[in-house]
Amino acid sequence: MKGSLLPLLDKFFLHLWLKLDFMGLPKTHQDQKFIVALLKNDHKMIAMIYERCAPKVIGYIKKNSGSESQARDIIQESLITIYDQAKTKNLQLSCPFDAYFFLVCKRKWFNQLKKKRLDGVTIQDEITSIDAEVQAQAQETSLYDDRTSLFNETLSTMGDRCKEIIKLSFSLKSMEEVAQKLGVTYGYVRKKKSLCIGKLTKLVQNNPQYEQLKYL
Amino acid sequence: MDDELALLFDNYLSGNLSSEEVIFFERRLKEDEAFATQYDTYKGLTAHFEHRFSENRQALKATIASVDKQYQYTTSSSNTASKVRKLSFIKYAIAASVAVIIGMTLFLQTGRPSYDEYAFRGTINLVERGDEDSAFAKAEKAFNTADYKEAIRAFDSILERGENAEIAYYKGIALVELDTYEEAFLIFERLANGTSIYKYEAQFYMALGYLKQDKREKAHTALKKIPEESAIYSKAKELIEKLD
Repeated sequence: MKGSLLPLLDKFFLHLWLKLDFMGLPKTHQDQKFIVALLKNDHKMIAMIYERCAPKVIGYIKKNSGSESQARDIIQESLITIYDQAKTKNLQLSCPFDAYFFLVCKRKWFNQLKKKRLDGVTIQDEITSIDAEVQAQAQETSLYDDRTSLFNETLSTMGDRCKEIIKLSFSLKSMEEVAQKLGVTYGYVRKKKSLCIGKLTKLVQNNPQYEQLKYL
Repeated sequence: MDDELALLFDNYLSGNLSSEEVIFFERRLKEDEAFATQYDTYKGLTAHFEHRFSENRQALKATIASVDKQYQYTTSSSNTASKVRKLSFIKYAIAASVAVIIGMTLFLQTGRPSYDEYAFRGTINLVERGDEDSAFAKAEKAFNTADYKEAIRAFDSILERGENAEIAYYKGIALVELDTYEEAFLIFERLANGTSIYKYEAQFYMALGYLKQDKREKAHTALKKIPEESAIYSKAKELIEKLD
């Protein structure tokens, strides 16, 4: 046992040195594990996120003209948004998860209030200093959210045929299946799918909002 | 966007262009900015909807909904006592895990690695799959109380209904616990060749199965197949070092 202590200490100092050496560079926060939990659909860890983060969000929303069930919806939507960003944009967390998550929920709630045009509502802001890193990370998620909403909303303005084909093309396993389901040929459905996405591309690019969101 | 362009993007993304056409396409991407912008948007939309309608996303939504259902919100004032208790429990749990980790590290530095050091010793959590489903509840209870024979029976009745990588993986662990290696390895082999999230966990557990039989060479070979990017890699690397 005694003989083994020395290499252990050695290792300890090596780690310390490595840590110091990389300090100052942006690095992934240890709370990335919660992002990974979403990616892995890890029930236990997601329950842990609820235990840690839900009370604060629910408390805040209840104080700001919302109900518990509205707060629960916001929590669920925020978790999905974060998952989406992690999956499609490889989100790397550089700040503590709970602070980041709270801010994401808060922004979502604020946007919802604005959309409902509940004029005159005041947002009771807690007097806490928010870390710049947390702000930046939540801001990125918020932009990401705007971008996906823009995509979804644009799709919803299209004709039913395009909507149906796009939805089926991405939810069924193969284009053959889509063709079968719609009772058309494989060639037709493939062509139609790309033309619909082409049309969607044009619509999205014509939206002035897209200008700020295209490089995300 | 004109139709021809959309068809071209689709053909490029689905790999239907000849190698010459690909070279031409990629050169155009570099040189023609408007073309590149259109392509990026087209590709971004494709990726977005592919993800939005994916099975994995639906599955996560279901998990979150079930966690939400189980979660009970209590305001701090009405429930201070239980909160305090919980907090101190967490403190003890953390202290205990730290002690275990330190103990493990010291132990691992010295002793030869054994199956017991690395074997799965946590509890499994399956009931969210449908509260009323007794097979999952039975399996969970049996496995967590180390009644592996009963657990395997319950796992089998779940697996009869269809593929389930998570259940298969736990069944493999239960089989190793009962020294039924051949059947366990069949399961791990299948998982390791598949694409589920248990791919490398299964590979790792195969190595543990060999270790339990003191087949160190074979354990070593099995561990070597775990790539660096997998979550279990650091554990695998540690075990390889112990084996060397």
